[in-house]
Amino acid sequence: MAVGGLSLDALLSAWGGGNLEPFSPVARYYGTMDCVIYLQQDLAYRADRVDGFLTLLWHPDCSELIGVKIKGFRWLFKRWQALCQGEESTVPDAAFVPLMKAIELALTARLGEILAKVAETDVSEKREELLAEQARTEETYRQASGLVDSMTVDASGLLLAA
Amino acid sequence: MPTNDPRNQKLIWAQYPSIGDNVIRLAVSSTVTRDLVETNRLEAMGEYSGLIFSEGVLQSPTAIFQGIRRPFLADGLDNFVYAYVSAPHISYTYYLRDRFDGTGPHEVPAPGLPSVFVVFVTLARSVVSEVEQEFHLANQDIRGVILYWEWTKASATDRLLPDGHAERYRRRVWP
Repeated sequence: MAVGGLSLDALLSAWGGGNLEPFSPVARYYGTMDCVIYLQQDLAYRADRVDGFLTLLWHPDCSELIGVKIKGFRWLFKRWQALCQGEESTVPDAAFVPLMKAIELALTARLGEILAKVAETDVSEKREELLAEQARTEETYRQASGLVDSMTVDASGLLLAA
Repeated sequence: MPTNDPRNQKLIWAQYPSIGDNVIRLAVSSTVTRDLVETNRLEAMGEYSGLIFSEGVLQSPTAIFQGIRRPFLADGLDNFVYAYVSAPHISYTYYLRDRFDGTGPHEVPAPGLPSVFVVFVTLARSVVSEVEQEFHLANQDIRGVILYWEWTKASATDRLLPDGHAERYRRRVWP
């Protein structure tokens, strides 16, 4: 049912125009929130926060994963650049970052946080809890990796800002 | 409460984060609107038009949180980000044909699984100044900028709040 409000044409005019095409799966860097969103379907997805780096985007009505949000992307990108410099290699085709690489960097950082807590505690129950969290984290990130497959995101805006 | 003006669709009235009966004027970021158009995100455009512009969810949020927890290179900017939470019973979308029919947005069911609608807003002066200059809005008394919006999984214990809000945000400022 159509409701009163802004017609699509009026909205696009206000937003500066642009051509619309049928939606296709896409990964995009949203500079305002410093995150990459990869969506397979144009739906009112439900965002489900995993941790400071990763949010899973679920189908609104069922348990189908339809996207991922990778947060702190600028931080992850800089980290990738630093790692490549340390290894005396250049960031390959840096304008297009594989989402798999970003997820891998985020997982490494997240596991680092968990393992640091493991090292700090001498309470065995707490240690087991953290190790269980580590296993859950690895499984969730594996799920996200499976979804993004070989998708890349254009990070040229980050390169210009660097 | 003032209503949003169809002659200026980039401007939105919102509750001041920590004072229920005060309103401020926000502008939507042109970066995010460009991103949404270029990726053909009709659902998100419908949510802006139906929920944020027409229904005015930013004027009567169920909660407002300040500061988001995530790694961010620009120190301190996250503290100026506010998450406006609401719990509409419906959502909106556009269809491609609306471009030619002059119609929309269209009412669609809100997510079937418990969810809340979250709009991210920054009150950082530097971001507001950029938007004012870009849109020539210096005389409009803009106080903040809408950065993004999305449906989010609701808390199992309070269906009006996002799941894990204590981990997501730094502090609750409303109510």
